[in-house]
Amino acid sequence: MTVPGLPGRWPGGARSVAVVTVDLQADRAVLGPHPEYAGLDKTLSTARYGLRHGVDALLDRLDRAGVPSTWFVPGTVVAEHPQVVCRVRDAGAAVGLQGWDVVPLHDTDPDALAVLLDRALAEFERARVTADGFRLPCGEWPLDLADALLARGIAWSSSFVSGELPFRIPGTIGELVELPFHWTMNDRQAFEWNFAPAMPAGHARIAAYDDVLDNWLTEFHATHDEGGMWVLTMHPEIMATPGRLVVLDELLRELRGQSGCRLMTGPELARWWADSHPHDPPGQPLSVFLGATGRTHL
Amino acid sequence: MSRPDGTGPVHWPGGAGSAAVLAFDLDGPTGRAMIDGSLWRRPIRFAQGGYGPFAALPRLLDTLARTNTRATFFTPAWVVEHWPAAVLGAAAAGHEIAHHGYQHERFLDLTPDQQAEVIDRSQEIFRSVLGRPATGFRTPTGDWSPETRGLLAARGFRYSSSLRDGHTPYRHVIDGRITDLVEIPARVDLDDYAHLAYFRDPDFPSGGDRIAGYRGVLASWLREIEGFRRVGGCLITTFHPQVIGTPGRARLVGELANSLHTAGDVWVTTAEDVAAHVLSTWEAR
Repeated sequence: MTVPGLPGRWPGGARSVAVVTVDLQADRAVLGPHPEYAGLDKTLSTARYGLRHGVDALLDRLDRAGVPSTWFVPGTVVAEHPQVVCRVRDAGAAVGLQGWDVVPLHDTDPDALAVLLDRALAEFERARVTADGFRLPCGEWPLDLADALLARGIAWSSSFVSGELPFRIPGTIGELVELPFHWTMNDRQAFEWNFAPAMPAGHARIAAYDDVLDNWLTEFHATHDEGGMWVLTMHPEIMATPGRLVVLDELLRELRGQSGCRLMTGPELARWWADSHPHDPPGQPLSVFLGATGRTHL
Repeated sequence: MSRPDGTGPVHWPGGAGSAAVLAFDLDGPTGRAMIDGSLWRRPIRFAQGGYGPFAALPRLLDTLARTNTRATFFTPAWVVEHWPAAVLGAAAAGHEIAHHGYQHERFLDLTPDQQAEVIDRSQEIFRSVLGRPATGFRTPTGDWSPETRGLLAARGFRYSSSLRDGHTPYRHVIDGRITDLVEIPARVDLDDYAHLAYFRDPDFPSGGDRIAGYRGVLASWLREIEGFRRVGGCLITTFHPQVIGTPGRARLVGELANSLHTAGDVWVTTAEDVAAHVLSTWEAR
């Protein structure tokens, strides 16, 4: 009995795929959820480290390792730092939309949602960066988001937490491909730390770097053996410390060194999945959700 | 023969010095958000839970099959209703499916009549889908009420694995009488939530703690295996497929199972079998 829906082979006959993603949120990561932290320069300078050093450092390491990447950017960040986003585009990375600001979209009414998506996409256009794909900035998936994205030419998302397999999110005018991620492969979960205000809320110790790398590689190798999809999420202000860049180099070497694993961008993988896998297997959680709620679309 | 408080040494079968049960709470998306209805606007949270029966369970069943291990799955009856093929697959592979509420209720919140209704409704679903009722019970979340044990005993349940007060099974004493309801107490140290679970919105852990390093977690669990062997108890886990059933973490379960088997003196079996053995070797007063 194997995990239902594993495709057997990925593009080019690969046994597994890996997608490296980066959330480029700058100081909106702090100010979006906490506008009251405006003016806390020490705290915000940590977030700005990402813009000043982290973006270029990550692009450099990824380029040296020959690993493609997919970056998600909120509209506010495109508006405030278009040159940075252009550098990401020019480095050959895929770039997707991460809403307008780093705030939950869950209770946004459809009209307001449309306005902020359009506002964000206008910033992408102004910067001459194509927004291919979407990731929620935080929080829960608002019902009816699929149609709002599909209507704006966005065909895929990476917003759900679960799993080693793409699946579909149905709208009424089409379907999104979802490339889910997992909190294990997330640098913020492992390393974020701020004294005042407390981040994380309970001041958990910064995780040991070797433990984190070991967890990431354990999941990577097991996912490869099984033939699934492995997704990593990084943040320039978290992962690009001098010491963690050394860890990143090691990780990227392992990814590249795994024969039979194809490293892909989100758009490439989503398009391949859309073409080759029209149906999710029975029991896929979203289809159980739709059945239980009597909904046909999300 | 057990002591007046229902405890006593257990002599394990076949020369084994201790026992071990790999027990999983197959919660799926059930729980408070489903019960209060908020889950029906939360597809991400639902999908996180659904990952358990959909993707994690087949992976864990593979691991258990490869290590020749029979396990116990405490399964809310709602999950049996909505992933019947997956749960039937687990039963067909020789694993025990036991009671875990209908939608993972907090029994302390329910009146005795409501608790009875949950238990009876779930047993009906078990009979209808799986062909047999559960003989074991684990409190889904939080506490039970003073009446719960009596309800279970009256309905012929053989055991509960809900409390934290021992390392060896004992018999529940209700109204001064030693009953045929066995308790197989668990420990939080062998709960994957305490080491590995991480969710957002709402945040778990509430303080935003890290996911632990897998190596250290496995090492701690292996120490517990050794410790249980020394005391002659019954080690029973509280694993959750949606937490421990990722590709990398399922390997930890495999290593645990291997370690239990290669020890050579541990009876690795289902909770149901442990309870039956305890009852058969201890006479009632």
